[in-house]
Amino acid sequence: MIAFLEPLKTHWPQIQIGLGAVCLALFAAGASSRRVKAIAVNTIREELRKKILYFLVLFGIIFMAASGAISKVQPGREGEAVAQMGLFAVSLFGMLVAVFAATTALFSEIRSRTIFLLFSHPVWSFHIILGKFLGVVGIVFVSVALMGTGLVVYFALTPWWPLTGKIALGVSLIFFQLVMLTAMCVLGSTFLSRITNILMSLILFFVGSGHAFFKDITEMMKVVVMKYYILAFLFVLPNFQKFAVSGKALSGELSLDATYVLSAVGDALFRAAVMVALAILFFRVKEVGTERWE
Amino acid sequence: MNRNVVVRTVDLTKVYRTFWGKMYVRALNKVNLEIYEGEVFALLGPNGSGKTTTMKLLLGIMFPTNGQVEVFGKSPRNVEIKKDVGFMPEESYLYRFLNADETLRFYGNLMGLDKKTRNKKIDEVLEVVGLTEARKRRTKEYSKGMARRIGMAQVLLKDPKLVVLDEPTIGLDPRGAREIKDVILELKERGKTVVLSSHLLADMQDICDRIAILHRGSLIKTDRVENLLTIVDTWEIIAKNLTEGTRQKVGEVIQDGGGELEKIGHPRESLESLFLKTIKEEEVEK
Ligand SMILES: Nc1ncnc2c1ncn2[C@@H]1O[C@H](COP(=O)(O)OP(=O)(O)O)[C@@H](O)[C@H]1O
Ligand SMILES: [Mg+2]
Repeated sequence: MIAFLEPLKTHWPQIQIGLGAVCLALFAAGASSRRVKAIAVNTIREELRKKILYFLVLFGIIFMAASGAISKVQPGREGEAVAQMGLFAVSLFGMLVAVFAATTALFSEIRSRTIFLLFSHPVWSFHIILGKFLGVVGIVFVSVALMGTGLVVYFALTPWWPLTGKIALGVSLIFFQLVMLTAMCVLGSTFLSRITNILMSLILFFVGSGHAFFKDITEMMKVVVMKYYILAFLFVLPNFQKFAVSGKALSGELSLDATYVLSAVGDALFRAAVMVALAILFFRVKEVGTERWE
Repeated sequence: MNRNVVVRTVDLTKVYRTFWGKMYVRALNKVNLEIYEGEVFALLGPNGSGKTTTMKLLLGIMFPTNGQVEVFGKSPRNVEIKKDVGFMPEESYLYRFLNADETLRFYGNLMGLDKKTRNKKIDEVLEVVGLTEARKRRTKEYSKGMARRIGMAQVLLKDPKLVVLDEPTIGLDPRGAREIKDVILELKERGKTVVLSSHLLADMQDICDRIAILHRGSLIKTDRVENLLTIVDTWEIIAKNLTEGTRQKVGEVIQDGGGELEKIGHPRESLESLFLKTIKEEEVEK
């Protein structure tokens, strides 16, 4: 590419780590606000008092157990197969929790019109959006931690225990993947209807999870203009695939070094921060309460 | 009178767009209001006349389509002034998954109260609105009246300079309504400015200083309650313990003086009829 971009490119992982650290600090600073904290805690409380969340987590655990019981693949490779199924289950059900909670968070506040009372207090859209985002991140954290701990403990007690560390890493990466997804849904909820938001998020999660595949087929496209549009879109779209610990990584063919992991986490935090910032801007100019629900 | 203006609107207009902008509802049309410090000001009008819309605009919840609104001399979108404004919405829109205690703690945190003050004040305001016993019950189990009381408790917790109450007595039995009205009078006594709305006209008569009559989004009349209700060319003598004979004598005296005795009877509430008359005039003019 252009020459002056070269150093940027070679140090890209370090830049991502740096940006991630800055964004983490920003999130932490925001979370220290009492108003943000109050809204985040209220969001968590709302979700925890709904039954559906427990069902999702429970289904996730059942799904993991069931996939462990039925997977009879190549002898000697069962551990990896079960690990992959397990991580897939954590990611899938974690995604459902994230999409469900994140698309509901703002929506329910508007539909129940509690937003009017919220706006009569000294809160900005900054407090509301960041509070909602951090609340949902908290819920996602609890769900992923519950399912992930189950998986890790299970592996630690089986002959496949050497995989435990990689599984723990895989679960952690899934959490950051879902942080990004949460930010995406919160952003969507500032300008889309709830159904559109859910559908969009699922589609984008699916496309972003097959990032490499979609990039490859786009590279082969003949229509140049179209091709660059799609490549630009894929560049903006979060690469969810980066956070999936693959079979190759589990078997040790591919090494997951610290730089790779940290830069992926940095990428997730940076993109989440950008999306949350956009959500705050959109929400600032949005006029709530003009919708009618009768 | 030279008093501080707390709320001022200039040609305040709000148009709702529905069906993706294909339909318009002119909910408020060029409304000019001035509300002074320390008064109880009522927006009166039937359902759909724009009372709630006015309140949402002066709270900065919605944006005017045209015209301006100022609260304490600033835009209501300014977060600073929200510390001095308390709002009780029309229906108490509550978090159904919280109990009264949690609800008030949540709002207390938004107000920036520290924990100790917050908890102490919550005990106090729950006592005032009479919800101490029910404080641990989820708000979704609450009756309409109880829900209104939490809305009020939340206002009292904030203790703001300007109190905005949307239909504070709607859905309450007469006793509950009286209690709310007593709270309003107490707020006035403590120097607060109160803006309230109602479609129950007679209901508000005894607590308001001034009223504004809204009809189909237009301000028809604003004045002090006494002025609006006084019929200047007619006199009323209020007396007690009149015997039949005295009443006849009074009639004779009036006729002797060239006056005209219209009626001798018992006094009645009249705000309601005033309202209906005003509306009728407006409709004839159109
Ligand atoms: N969100 C909305 N979308 C469209 N029209 C609305 C909306 N809210 C209120 N209106 C209309 O605006 C007018 C005024 O409503 P409102 O301010 O709620 O009246 P009030 O509080 O006096 O009953 C009504 O005609 C109502 O139907
Ligand atoms: Mg109303």
